[in-house]
Amino acid sequence: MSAHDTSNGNSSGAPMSRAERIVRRGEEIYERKLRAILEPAHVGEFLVLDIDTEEYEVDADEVAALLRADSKRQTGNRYLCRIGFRAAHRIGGRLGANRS
Amino acid sequence: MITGRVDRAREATIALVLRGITGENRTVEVVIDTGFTDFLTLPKTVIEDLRLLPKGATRVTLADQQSALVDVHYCKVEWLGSLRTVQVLAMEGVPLVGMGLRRGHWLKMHVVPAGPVSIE
Repeated sequence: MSAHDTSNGNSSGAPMSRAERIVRRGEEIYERKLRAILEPAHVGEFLVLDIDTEEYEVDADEVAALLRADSKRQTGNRYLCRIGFRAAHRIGGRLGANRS
Repeated sequence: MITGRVDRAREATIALVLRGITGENRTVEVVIDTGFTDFLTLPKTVIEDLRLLPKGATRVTLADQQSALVDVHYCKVEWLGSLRTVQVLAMEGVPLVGMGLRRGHWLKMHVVPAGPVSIE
């Protein structure tokens, strides 16, 4: 259900988890296609990206973005991120600004 | 008003009524975590009991600055007299309620064993 990020790949050779597959694909699409479009104007807002169609929604309210995306197409293959940040949320610690 | 208690481990806990896809309610004790920026975490067993459908996945930053890649679901929560749709991160351990769900509200607590907790 959750996977710790082993830097650039799954070094154990184990199959990717569902979450890992979606996040890796989503981050690839973001870097290739969306960063130049969405930053810096939308930094801090939430991106909901369908990794199969590459369609997306952006909103300051992530639930609103996800509901809007769901109203167009029901899928479990969406990548969610906070634009301009390394992670969408933190559980303890601090969010790191700027993807690297 | 939502009320709860601070336990001996200094964790502030409240009970949330969650509603799954079939419309059945389940009451879950959650820990209030002010270091958590999203809405709710739930373990796999609760997610399966509520039959919450996966909506996607995301990256979260943990307290040690490591990343975790987690599944994202939806759930309805009874919250201060209304039914809210919230995002749920699938994570093992005690369920957490974060700042996302408490946005716009007051959180008060007396941090002593059995101290009162209120959200309004």
